[in-house]
Amino acid sequence: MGCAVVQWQMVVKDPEAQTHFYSSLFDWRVNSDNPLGYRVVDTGTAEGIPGGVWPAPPEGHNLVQLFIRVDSVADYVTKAERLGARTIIGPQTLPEGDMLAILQDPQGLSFGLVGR
Amino acid sequence: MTLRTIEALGQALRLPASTIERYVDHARREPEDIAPRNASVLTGDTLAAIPDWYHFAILELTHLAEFQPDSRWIARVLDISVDEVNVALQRLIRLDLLDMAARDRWVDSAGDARVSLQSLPPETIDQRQAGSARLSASAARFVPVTYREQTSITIAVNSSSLPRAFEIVSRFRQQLTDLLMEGEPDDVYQIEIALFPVTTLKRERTDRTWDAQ
Repeated sequence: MGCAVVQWQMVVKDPEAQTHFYSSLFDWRVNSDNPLGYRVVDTGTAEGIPGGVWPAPPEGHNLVQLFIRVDSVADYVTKAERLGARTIIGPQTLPEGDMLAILQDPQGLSFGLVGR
Repeated sequence: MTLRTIEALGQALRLPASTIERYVDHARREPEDIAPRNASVLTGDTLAAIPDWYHFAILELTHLAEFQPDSRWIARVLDISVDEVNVALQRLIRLDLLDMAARDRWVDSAGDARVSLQSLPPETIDQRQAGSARLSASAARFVPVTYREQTSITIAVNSSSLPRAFEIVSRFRQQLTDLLMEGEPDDVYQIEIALFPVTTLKRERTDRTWDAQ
């Protein structure tokens, strides 16, 4: 089974300003009507992948992450760690049912795993 | 404060040997006898990473029957923004204090953690205390007296009674916590107990030992 990149995510200190900028620029629609209040970005086209915007802590920095869908988040966390990745947020069950983990690859880039 | 520091401080204050011994005894027994049962004391590093009051409030909310694993609900009941909730959630999970164990169940992994301000960086202490002061002021202004108790008194004290006073405070805190945790929790409260000097007299009397704390 392949592991597709299914979503991008901007992690920024001012999510409201960020979504305002991109919505104004590209007519993207943002919907945060979900349990985490997550800003889901609809780019308005079937091309490409959807995205989202998440708040960064004041002590953090702005970044973009890619999310990869896997069949078992826990298994891929183990595999990634074996390959030198560092787990930032271990597998968590989101209110809508998916599992999520955030890792940092050996080059220092953070990425997400979603799945079951 | 180490036992040796307590002894040095007591001698500098010219306290009777028996009083110093009571201080030392108090400090020696604190971890086992005075800390709340089933409580853990979070380290300075952990606390420094979670300076805002609502982190602990979020953890405590998970114990309520009506808790909803929903950032919007948490934001509403704590009167903070959804983004503040989500930043807090990230911190709590990274620090292993919260676990989103299932879609409808978040687990407070911190237990009944007790916050000790000792060993915290000064700026973290300032931020935490400022947050507590804002909460307290807000409660005093907007929460009916039926639902709160806020009193403050400034008095001249005999310092030799302080060890006994600290002991009473510790036991009172434990009794209060035990009482309020009986049965099914349905709200989150903050207990603030403070007993501290408002003068510089002790600093003047103790000189170097004060700065060594």
